[in-house]
Amino acid sequence: MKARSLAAHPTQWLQIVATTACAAALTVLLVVGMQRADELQAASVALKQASELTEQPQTIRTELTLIQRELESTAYLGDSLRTVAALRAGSDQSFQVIQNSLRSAGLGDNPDAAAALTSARSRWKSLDQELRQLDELGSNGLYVDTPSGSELSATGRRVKAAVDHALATQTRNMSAMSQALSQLGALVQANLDNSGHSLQAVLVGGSCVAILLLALMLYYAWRWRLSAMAATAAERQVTNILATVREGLFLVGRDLRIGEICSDSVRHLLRLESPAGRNFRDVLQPLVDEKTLAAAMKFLGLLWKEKVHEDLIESVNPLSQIEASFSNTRGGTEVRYLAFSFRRVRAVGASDDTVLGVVSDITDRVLLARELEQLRADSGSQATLLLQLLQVDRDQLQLFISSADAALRKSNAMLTAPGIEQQDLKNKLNGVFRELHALKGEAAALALSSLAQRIHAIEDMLQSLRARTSLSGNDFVPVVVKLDELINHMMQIQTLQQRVSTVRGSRPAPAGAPSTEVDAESDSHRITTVLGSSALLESEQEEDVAAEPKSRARDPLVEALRLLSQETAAALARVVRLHTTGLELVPPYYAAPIKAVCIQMLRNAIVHGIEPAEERRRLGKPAEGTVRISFTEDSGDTDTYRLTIEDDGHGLSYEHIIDKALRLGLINPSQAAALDRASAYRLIFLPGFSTIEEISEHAGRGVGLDAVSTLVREYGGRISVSTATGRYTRFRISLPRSASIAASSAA
Amino acid sequence: MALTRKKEAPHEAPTHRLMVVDDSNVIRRRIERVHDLLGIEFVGAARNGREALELYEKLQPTLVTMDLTMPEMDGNECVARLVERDPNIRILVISALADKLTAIDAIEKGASGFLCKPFTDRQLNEALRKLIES
Repeated sequence: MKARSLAAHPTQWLQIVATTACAAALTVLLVVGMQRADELQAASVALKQASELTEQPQTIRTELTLIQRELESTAYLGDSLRTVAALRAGSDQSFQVIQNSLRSAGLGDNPDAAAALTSARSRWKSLDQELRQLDELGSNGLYVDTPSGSELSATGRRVKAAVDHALATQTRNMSAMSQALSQLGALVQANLDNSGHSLQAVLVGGSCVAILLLALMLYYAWRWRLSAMAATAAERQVTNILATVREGLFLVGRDLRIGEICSDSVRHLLRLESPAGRNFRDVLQPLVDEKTLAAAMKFLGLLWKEKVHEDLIESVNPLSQIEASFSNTRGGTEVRYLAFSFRRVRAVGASDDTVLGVVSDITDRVLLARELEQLRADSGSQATLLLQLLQVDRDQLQLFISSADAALRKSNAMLTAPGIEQQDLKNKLNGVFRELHALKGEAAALALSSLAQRIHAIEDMLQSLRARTSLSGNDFVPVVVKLDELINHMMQIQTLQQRVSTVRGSRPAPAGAPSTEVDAESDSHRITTVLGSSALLESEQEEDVAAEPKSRARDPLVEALRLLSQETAAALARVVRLHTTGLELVPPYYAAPIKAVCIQMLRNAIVHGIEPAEERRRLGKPAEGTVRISFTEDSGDTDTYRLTIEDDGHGLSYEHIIDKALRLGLINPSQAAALDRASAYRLIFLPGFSTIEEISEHAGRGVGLDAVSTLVREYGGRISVSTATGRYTRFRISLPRSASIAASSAA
Repeated sequence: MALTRKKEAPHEAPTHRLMVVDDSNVIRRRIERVHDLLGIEFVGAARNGREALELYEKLQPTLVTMDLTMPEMDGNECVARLVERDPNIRILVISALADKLTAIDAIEKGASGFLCKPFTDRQLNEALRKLIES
């Protein structure tokens, strides 16, 4: 991670290195330049001194000549001698200065310069010697007065001799000294030129580096400005997103603190002034019950575990849908449904202890789903209920209905009984709950799922009332309403049950009677009058009804199937005619499986086979679909029975089957490509093929084709299908006649 | 009595060996039925946690579906014990919707996924698929 953070900013590193290098180069150049300047200065001092020194012997000579003349004219010598002394000292100093300057100018080690200086100096020394003697002789007592005037004393004569000697020495040495000094001067000049050039070069180099540095700094300033602008733009975008997004986005730390940045919707959705910095638990507490809160905290804890797979645990998210009550401005409460989802933020760096929370308002979705569910429950309820009732044993059903009736009456009585004390209300609540819970258990045992679901919904309401600390009479109003609905549903069951028992109660046709084609329509009139709803096939009924006496005995299975076909067709807006043949010949040991198979296959035929009337008309088919169920002893093979279920619907679709099998993972694409039609059609009998969608859409509506084929195989039979697209689907089931073993084991 | 059954591999050798732990016959059958779709080899079923632990040694499953409320030993404890034996085992816990807290507990103890009861075949299929792909 460290390496990545270093690598993440290579340009920054380049920037630092380049700038430092430039600055270092500039410093070096400056130091060198200053050195050069010092040398230059020293060299020019040396040059100046040398040129001054070159003048010196001439000045001294002039002075000496002056002294000579003064001696001749017996004039006062003091001033001239002092001048000479000053010149001597000055020259000595000049030599010293030259020597120092040469060293400073870097010529200290130059042998030519040293030789020239030494030579000049030695020449000077010899003159200096003479001059010092002159100086020592002094200016006093040089003259003696004689009658002929003043003339030189002994000292004066010595001075004169010294001066003459000095002049001779000067004449002898000075040109050599001048020469040596000129030589030195030339050397220094050359050095001066060199230093000048190198100083120039250093200055040019320094300027270049300075320009480069300036350019670099300008470039990086520009870059910085660009990235600053990009950052500002990004920040603005983030702000825009956070201000606009409808979901509430927020970050939660391991300490459950909500992060500084969250979308504006969080405030609105959770009705919070300032979510930032708040503890998420505190925020959640007023919205959910204690158990959910505890679960939520545990769930968040899970997210921080390393091994946990987020996709897999999303299903345990206890906040995936919560019902939250908020007080609104008018003093009432408003219920909203909120969905939270959480995702671990796996960022690079130190901020890895964060979870991104997303909260959205799903009230519309929840309400819509409920409406749809209600709608579906209402539209399918008759058929579903009938199917459920058909599968329940008659006596058991009768018993259940009477006990349910009693339980509901009792519950109703309890709810409407007087008593408004807390204890009374609690007793009511518990009493009703006990009754309904028992009833739910019975309903579930009889697989009356629609009823069980309704009771379950009321139980949920009661359960939430139980959790309250104080109750009021008004709290029971929704329960009473729901209980009313339940009682209505129960009455519906009762009505249907009566119809079913009428059907079941009628006697079967005498065995051995010739197999008659039973026309489903013929009885539809009777059925619809019982139902009191509009008949679908009313136009053709009159004749049939007249033709067939109402008292005619019916096979109970045929009646049940007809009822089922009516109800299912009505629920799905289809028009269906059912023909049955030979069902009264079903031997007793096959009654149960054949009933189960027929119910399932008939339903399948109507739900999946027969097209809606309008579509049929468009296809040029009769608006009314036909399902034929026939039971025969196989004419070719006397050892088998044959049950055929055929509909004139749209047939099986090869493409649709392949598509679905692929989707379910029953086959892979290469297998799909190799499948011929016949093998493809066999896929529909595979476990999981036909049931999956149905169960999820119409829970508890029974079993699918795989169950039918399992059942058939259990009895040693076989099932096959033939179909013509757009024309028909025909299932043939053959069952062994000698099924006594299978039957007894299955019974 | 534990139920065990061996099935021959359909096309390629399945890499996932499934053990079902559930006290309900119906649910056990349903899960067994779906396993074919995903190329999972069903190796056996247990009715409670104790039986599951016994069978584990013999069957060495890599996938387990586990009802959380069972007699003998509850699902959560069984999850913990199984994970202790094989940290890589993938366990799908099955429980009622109202019981998310228990499910969270199970995941804390090392289960990999959760399926809410009642479930459709498709949901079961999807949950198993996710479990395999995770």
